[in-house]
Amino acid sequence: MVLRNVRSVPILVYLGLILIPIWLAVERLMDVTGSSPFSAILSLSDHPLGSEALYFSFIQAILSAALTIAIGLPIAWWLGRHQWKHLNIIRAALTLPFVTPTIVAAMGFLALFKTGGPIESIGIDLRFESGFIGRLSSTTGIENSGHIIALLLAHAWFNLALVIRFVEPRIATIPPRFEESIRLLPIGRTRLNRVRYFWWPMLRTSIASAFIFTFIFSFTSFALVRWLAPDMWTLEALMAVEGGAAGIPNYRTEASLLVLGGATLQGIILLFALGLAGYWEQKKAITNDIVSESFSRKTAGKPSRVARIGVSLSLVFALAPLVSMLLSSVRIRDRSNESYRWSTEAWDIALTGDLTYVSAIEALSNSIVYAIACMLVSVLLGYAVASSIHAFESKGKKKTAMAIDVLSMLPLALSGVMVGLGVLLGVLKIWPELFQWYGLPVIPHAMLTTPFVIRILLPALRSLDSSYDETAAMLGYSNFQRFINVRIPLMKSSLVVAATLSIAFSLGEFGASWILLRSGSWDTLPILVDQLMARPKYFQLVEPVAMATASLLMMITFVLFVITERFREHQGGGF
Amino acid sequence: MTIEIQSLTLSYDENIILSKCNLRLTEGEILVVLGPSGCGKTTLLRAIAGFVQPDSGTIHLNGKILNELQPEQRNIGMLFQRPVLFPHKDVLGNILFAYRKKKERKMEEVDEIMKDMGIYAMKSQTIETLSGGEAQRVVLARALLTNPELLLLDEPLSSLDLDVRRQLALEIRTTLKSKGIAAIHVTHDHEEAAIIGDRIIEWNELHRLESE
Amino acid sequence: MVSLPFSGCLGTSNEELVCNEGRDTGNDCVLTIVTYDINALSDDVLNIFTNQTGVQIEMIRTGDAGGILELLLLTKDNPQADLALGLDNTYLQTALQFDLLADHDAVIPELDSKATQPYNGMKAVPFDQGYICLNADTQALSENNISFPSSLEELTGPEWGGRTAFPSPVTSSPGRAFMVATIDYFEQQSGDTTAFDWWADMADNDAIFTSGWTEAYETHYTGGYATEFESHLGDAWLTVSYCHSPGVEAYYSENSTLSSAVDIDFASFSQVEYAALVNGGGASNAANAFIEFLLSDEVNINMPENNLMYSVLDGQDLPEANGYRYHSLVPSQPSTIEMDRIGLEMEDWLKEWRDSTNSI
Repeated sequence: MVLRNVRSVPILVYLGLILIPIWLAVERLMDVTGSSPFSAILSLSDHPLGSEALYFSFIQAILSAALTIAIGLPIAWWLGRHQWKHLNIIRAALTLPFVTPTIVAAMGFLALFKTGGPIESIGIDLRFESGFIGRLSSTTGIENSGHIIALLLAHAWFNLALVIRFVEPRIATIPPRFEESIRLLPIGRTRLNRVRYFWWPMLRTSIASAFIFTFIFSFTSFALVRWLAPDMWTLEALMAVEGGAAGIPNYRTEASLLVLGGATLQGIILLFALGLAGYWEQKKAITNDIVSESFSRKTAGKPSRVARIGVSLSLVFALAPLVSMLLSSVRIRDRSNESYRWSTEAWDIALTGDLTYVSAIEALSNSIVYAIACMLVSVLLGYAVASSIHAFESKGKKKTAMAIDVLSMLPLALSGVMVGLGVLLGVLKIWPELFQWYGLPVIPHAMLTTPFVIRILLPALRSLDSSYDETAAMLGYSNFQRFINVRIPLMKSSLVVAATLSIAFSLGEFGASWILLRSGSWDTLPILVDQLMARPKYFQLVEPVAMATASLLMMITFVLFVITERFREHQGGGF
Repeated sequence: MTIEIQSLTLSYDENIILSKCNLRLTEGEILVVLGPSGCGKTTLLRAIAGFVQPDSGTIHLNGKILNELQPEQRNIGMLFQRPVLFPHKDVLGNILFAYRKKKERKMEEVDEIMKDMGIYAMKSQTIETLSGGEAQRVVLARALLTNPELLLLDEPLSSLDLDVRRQLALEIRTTLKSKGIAAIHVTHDHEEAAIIGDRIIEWNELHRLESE
Repeated sequence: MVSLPFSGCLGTSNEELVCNEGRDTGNDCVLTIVTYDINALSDDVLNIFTNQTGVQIEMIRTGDAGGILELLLLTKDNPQADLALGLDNTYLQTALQFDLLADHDAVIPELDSKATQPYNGMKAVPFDQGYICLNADTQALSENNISFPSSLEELTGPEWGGRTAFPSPVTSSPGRAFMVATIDYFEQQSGDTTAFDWWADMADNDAIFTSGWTEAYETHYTGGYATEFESHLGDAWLTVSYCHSPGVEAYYSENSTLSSAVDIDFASFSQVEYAALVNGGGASNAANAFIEFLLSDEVNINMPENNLMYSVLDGQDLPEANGYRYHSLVPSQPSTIEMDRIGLEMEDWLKEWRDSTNSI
């Protein structure tokens, strides 16, 4: 009884942090518009772009998720199965896209798609839609099909890391004897059957989670849509451009109506998707023995040629836009004679901070500090919430567990604009001094990463055979000692994955709508990039400086990942 | 030194599993509880271990009442049907799990018991490479190192083949007897029961026996 | 927080500067400015101020001028900033209506009359200005045999179909300024056509509407600096920008530019940007000192180079270097719509604009 009460505390704190801002925002918006959230949804169709944005958000999100799985699944498979040299470097490289500030990613992709670029030179003109793409547009009747394809590819690129991080560890820890058993049964003779009767049941919940998270990120996509498909709008983009005016009495009420309706509708759709993932995970989860990754990989052996080619191609896919970004940072345009010169000037300016309030170096240290703080908070909080959910499940209280599960995913389902408004209103009302606090950005970062942590740790907890815990209890280990000596080591893989995702997200996040953008000492690298790219770029060094700042972000991300991944495996049959 | 169970009753979802069970064990005695699969033998052991709470009845171990104690406080060892070895440690690492603190480790004791159980040569192996019988030996070695006052064995030999089963049953008996550790072993196999036990009780008898 | 050494508070030229406590910041001498990333406030410039007065600067950045107004409105009961920098004369009236600003106490030098014309009260001080205009790509026009526009009506013709890009007045302040100009333009004409009829025609003629100036200028406009950018689509020969934007282009490109400002009577707008004390904010002494600093010779004369806007000091002009002045246009007859009227009618105008164009 006491234990359960103690367990409830992290859940209550976490849910409180989510629900209070939402409540405040909704209350204010209802007040200002005189409308309920549900009537506000209906008025979305009054906005000239409302219905179109809803439709496009939905369609492109589903297609993006499907494409991401299609590209990511084979990679996760090859990585999970075989022994690779420098696996942690490969993983780190494939996770870099997830961290890239969207505006930079957009530039990177545009560089690949532009006239004279690598993609156009093989006849695929995604940017101006001539040739094959143009014919595609006219035959399908889908305008801007080139732009849409570019957007889908960019989303897939971005979210590749999710597929790999959800699915690969699962593949890597399934005992080989399971597959071996099924191969010897009549039903497992063909590869197709093995996929159908063995691999699919084993992996479907991880794949579903990856699909749904990609769907969510793509649904709420804003910057990539604006850059890659300028004629298209998502619901989040509509809310973001007008959202600043929301929540103000007697001023631009239609903006408040848009945010209230849009955020409610978006929230319902996304919560439903998340609920589906959670429900399916609970019902269909298969717990099994887990083996150490190195054992499983040794059994499958070295990668085949196909695997090597596949993973190499994926590395090219992951790194190409980033390489192009790096090149842009050292290539300065000379407009008077329409030529380019190579120079490190942009890097000098970035590092000394001549164009911005803080230098890239200061922003870098802020980024790292916030990322590590965020990781610690979200992993601890996420573990606490996940183990509470698991405890409820184990005691048969499945409905309670389900409810908490879905609620804890709320931060992902909410529009940034809505939450920003709520946090602003809440903090102002309850604790205004909080705005002066250096640590403030950790709160929204942690709120957004904790759902991932929960999503990753919960299946891991479920698959922990209770006999491990019971055996340790019989050997005299207290609850805390079992936590340290049994649960943590057996979940190490998942914990590291959760930690790296958390760091990744925090590094790349510049959730401008969450907190007052106090420029200056708090600036992180993505904020710096955003500031630079938002400027008029008459001065030809502005964009290269932004690219240099973004490149610095990439480098530090890479280093942090490689370090963190070291904790995942150690020598001697480690886990 | 005795183990005494009085009137232990446990139901689950309106099914009565244990109905006023009575049991008594003397020091160093190995009791075998014989019964078909699914009758509730495991539940009995889990109740003694502390993983499930009985509805009524008491469990005494050497004069202590165990009912209110957590499993880790009962000083009871247990072997499960499947050998439970931690995949993140090798054989030696698993055995050393018997010691909660590094400084408590007594390596001579460890080496001795590994040699006795015939697993000394495997100490650096990973657990996936062990056969079923080898794995149970490791588990047993680990359990014994904690000097339990009582050892519970939940059909640990059922998944092994006949020769290994017989061999291991004999080894278990020999080891327990040499260390004077009392044990309750549950099984459905008559031959195994005959090899291991000092005394055999049928499952139904447990529920009829009056306390002496 | 980066803390600069506390060098004590020195007096300004006019009075002993006493740093008073900003709203419970716990620090003396901290000035919080809400702005939209104005280039003029470079590190060096801010450091000069800090060195002179001992006042540290903290900034709250919003997306654009509208964002400043929005933030002030949202935090009205608990203001987070001491000074608002960048509200222009399309937003100022609304800020005054909602009582968001406080009287300043700064000593103001002689200012250009254009800068004080829209508003000359105590609640806001001009610190830079410029004219909003249409900009057109002269090379593209000559290549396509299109004459340089001399009226707004001709832009609805087929030769301009899909070739114009406008930032939305709902979400962009240059877009907003231009819309006001179009209203004035059509009111000055005889006939019944309103600005919103024209906007509807432009929408029918496939005009491109963007949420911000950046997208219109960089992605769509062919006459600007972004023709080599990865994001460039280059489908518009005409867009909205400053009348001196071609000058800025030339300034950074060794006196060469294809862009030219369009001088159509009433179709341009005189924009003034203001510094204003926030009502309910603190650090008023520091804020006043900052206003004086902003209007000092050392800062304001350099507005064209540092902030790409005109100075508000009397008798100043754009520099001549690299054709900055040469390629810049001073429109003959900008819009005459008064600030009061803008404050009163803007919400209705925005709704009508949206209805006419069916766009963002």
